[in-house]
Amino acid sequence: MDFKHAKRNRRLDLWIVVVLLFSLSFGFNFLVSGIDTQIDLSPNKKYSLSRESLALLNKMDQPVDLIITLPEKASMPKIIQRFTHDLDLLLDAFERADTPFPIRVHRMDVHTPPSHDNILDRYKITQPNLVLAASPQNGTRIIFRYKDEKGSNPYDSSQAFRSTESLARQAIWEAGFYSDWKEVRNGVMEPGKFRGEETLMRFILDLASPAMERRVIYFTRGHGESSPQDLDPREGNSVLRGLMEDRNIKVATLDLGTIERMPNDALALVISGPKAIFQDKEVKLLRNFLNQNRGRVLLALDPVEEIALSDRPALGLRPLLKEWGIRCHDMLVFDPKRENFDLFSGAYFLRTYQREASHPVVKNLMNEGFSILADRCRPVEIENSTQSPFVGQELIFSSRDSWALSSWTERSFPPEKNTLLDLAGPVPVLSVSQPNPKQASQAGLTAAGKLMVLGSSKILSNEKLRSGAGNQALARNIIYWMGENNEMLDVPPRILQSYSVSMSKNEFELLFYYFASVPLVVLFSGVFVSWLRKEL
Amino acid sequence: MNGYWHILKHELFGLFISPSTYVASFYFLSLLGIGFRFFIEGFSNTAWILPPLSSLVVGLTFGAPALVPFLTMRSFAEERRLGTLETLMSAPVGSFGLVLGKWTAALFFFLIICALALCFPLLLWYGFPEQAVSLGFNELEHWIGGCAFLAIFGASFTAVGIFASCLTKNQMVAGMLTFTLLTLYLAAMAFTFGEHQNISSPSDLSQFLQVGLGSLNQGLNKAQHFAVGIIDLSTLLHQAVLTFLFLGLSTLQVERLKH
Amino acid sequence: MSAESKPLPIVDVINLRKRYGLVQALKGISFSIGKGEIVGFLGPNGAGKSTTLRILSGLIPADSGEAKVCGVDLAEEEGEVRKHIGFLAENNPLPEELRVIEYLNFRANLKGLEGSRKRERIRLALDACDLERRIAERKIGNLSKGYRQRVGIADALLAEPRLVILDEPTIGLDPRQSAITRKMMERLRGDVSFLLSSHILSEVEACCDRMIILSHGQIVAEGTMNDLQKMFINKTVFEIVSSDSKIDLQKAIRRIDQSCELLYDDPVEVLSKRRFTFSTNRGEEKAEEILRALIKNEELSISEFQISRPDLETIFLRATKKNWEVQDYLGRGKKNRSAKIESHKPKTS
Repeated sequence: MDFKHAKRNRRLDLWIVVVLLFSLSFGFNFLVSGIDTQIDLSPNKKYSLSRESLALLNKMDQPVDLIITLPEKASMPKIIQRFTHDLDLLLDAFERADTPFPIRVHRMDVHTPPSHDNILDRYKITQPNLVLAASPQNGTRIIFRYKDEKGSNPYDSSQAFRSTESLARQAIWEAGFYSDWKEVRNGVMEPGKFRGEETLMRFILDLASPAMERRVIYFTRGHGESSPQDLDPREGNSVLRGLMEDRNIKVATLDLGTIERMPNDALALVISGPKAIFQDKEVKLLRNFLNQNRGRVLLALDPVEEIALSDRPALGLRPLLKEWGIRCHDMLVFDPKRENFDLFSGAYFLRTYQREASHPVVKNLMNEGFSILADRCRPVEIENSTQSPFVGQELIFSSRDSWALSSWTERSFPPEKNTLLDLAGPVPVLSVSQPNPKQASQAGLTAAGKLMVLGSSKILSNEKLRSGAGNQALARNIIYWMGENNEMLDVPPRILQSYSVSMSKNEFELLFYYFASVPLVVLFSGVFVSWLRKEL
Repeated sequence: MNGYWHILKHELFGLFISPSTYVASFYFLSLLGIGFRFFIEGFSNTAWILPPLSSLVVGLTFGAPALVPFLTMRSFAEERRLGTLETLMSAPVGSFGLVLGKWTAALFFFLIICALALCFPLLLWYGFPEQAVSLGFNELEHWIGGCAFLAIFGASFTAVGIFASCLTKNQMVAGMLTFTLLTLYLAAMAFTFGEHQNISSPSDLSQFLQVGLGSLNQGLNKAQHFAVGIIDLSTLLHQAVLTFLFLGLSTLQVERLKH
Repeated sequence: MSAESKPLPIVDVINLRKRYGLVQALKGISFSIGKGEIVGFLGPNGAGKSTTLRILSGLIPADSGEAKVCGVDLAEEEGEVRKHIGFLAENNPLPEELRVIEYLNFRANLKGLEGSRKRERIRLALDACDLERRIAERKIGNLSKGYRQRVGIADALLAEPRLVILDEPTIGLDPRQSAITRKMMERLRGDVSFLLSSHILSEVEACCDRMIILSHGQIVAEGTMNDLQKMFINKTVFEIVSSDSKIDLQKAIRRIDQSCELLYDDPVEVLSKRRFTFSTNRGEEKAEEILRALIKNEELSISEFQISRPDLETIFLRATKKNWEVQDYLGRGKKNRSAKIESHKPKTS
């Protein structure tokens, strides 16, 4: 072949190869950008979404956008940087989740919004430093807001001067993204766990669930229950109602016997001290509400005196309670110790709380050492079995000296302890039962709600709520617990690893020599090699 | 690919016996060691939220513009100046094999230096086991993530260095060019750091172009993932594309040198 | 082998051209080299020797023309040809920091030699170039020019090449060393073809079967020594030392040969004699006839007579001079400045 042809060919080849190389690189870059596979090497894959979250995301029926207007800047307080770091890793996991309606994450700068297709305009977002969830149908929910108020004046006494760091800490703390705050040094609190997945999931589910306002708590009537309208200073429930309305929850009453199905807006049902038996139809309504409708039920049962009722234990609710793992015997808690009773009102003190796991309902009560004022109580026990789709917790107990009397109406006073039939103290008085996510989904109870049983309706009565700070705190916790969207309690929080070092000056000096050994080894091997290569 | 292994062996041997490699590694490791020691000392007061091990990885990545030129600048520039490249090309060696061999050798030495730098935390572990644990050095996934990050960025950095070395006969110019290119590259990545974009569906041309730029655009965004032990495949592949591009360009340039 | 029954040329070049920017380095050269031949490339600086050799070794492509080396078309697969040739580049660049044996080992690896064959070939190459063990263990950077040159040649011989291309192999070698190189080529003659370029004419004259003289990118002469002598020195030159006057002598000679010309007329230091150089284009017989006639002529006193044989230097100068002159005219005609400048050089020197 002539060189002339070869040259022409070669030049052509060169150009083709150059063009090919660049377009290939461009194309590969493009393709590669679409790959969002990540290999999570951490133990338990703690940076990937939990199976529970994935299962819930798969059930979503509309897309949800997560919008972050919180800029990633080095000038931000350290806690915010930590938050953005944790959030980034989490959002990545959300974005990568393979769900029918993918979670779309938009990181936006409100000051320089994109020229068109502006998601900020669509959701009317103008503020920076926000994390929010939004869906086209259900609007937006602010998950996190951080106001860095630079304008606070240190000389103006009406305005507390706070460092940006402290403001940031407060914002983070309030958002509930972190838990287990511990003091690390000089009063600085550092979080121990990151609950971001749970928090975000809650907002996402809130947005993605059918648009329906469930903001009413119904009190049952027709069984001699105390009424939320009752202003009676002793028996009424009007204080409880007030507490509920403070939380923007509507309160209404409901006769289960007259309705065919529970109202759609029902958030929870309160059965406060019924005196009469529940009919099968009513129990069916209750069961349906609890098991299929994410219903929350607060059942406050007093010890029953009438022997006539003993053929239908727990006023006919026993089978339902049993399904949910709660045993509620017709017993009475008896305490021989005088000091467990209030001298003036005769109220019984409940001071013993569940020890190990701290349930949100009693956690702060435990920490603050509140006691709960009660009247006559009945035991509310939990029977946990591994097959049960529900998992129960006993939260508040009577004193160690007390015991529960069986067939108490027939016992003489003071009673003799019958070790065979009586229940030894401390006797549980407040218990909750919730679905165990894994087993509940196997049993087809994916939409199960939660149940709380109180062994005394008086705990939430006007009298006790007015006089007992502990009762008030408990009532608030119960209302919060009923209102909160607790469907994913099983999402494990990510334990944050905090790194620290504490070495003395001498140890640092020693470390310096340790470190110096590496370059010195390099240097000496260099000298050695050049000596080997040396030629005389 | 003719002669790849022999070129690689020869290049490695050349780097192994060259005093400049040792001097460069010595200085680099000394600086890094001092930096790392002071970082550990002041760790409680820094705003460093990633695992402490990643500081070393970041140090190596951002120190690479100062190190990589020493490993790559000689490869072609010096050989061209001395004329040994011509002798080399008179043997049955393919241009790509030649480029690949030289690149692998440079990458190998870069990784050796990284491995030596990672001896710092190991030494700390050896000397103060409890401190090492409280600094998170016992978490294997941090090591794997860091090493993967260094390996892939080392690959692209050395490829850039090899390309710069092909362009000129003067190794100083090649070194400076490598330094400049790598600094610009890192600066571009650092500049776009944190500017997340929804790249799954680019809507206009500029976004399309940005996506095509690959790692140049937000290439370091996933660095924190690697630091905590999440291997982000797209970051790895972006760097692999960059490596491929620069090795390809180097091969073309070596071919062109003949004409 | 088919090559023996019908000998194919090892190198076959047709109308090769190469241009570097404005300078046309090769202007269409054609030649061929047979198996086992030793061919010398001669030419002044910038004649295109190195360019030709680099093209033939597949390092650079030509602009046009065809070239086949060992049956491989260079235009198509220049990489393939490197398997069959050994090449010593101009100035012989070598990695300074390696030891000789390390370098040869590396080169042998690159050329696909392995195991015992590699060791054997390295030993043979070292022997062929007279590199003893002591030298093989030394760093190339510390070797003298002559030894380096031999290392380069040893490298070229490593893989039993069919063609060895040596660009200025004897540059920087002392006479003993170049004799060794010559001996080496003599020993390998027949199996291996050699193509070497050189400035040193005696070198080429001594060992080459054939010469190709290049000037300004063109082949100005090609052939064996005898061919060249015939081609360029078609006049017989003879010298006469005599005390007679130029006119008498010229008259006496013209009587026998009309065409005979006086070339030079130099005084001889001793006595008052002069040395006259004549040339005739009628061959040596005529010169002898002139001598006889001059001796018979008693008016003239001839003290010396010698027919001079032209050496390669003369041929080289003649050949290239002719080319320079052609260049000169062409250069002026084309107003080619570079050619003009070059063309003045030999005139002034």
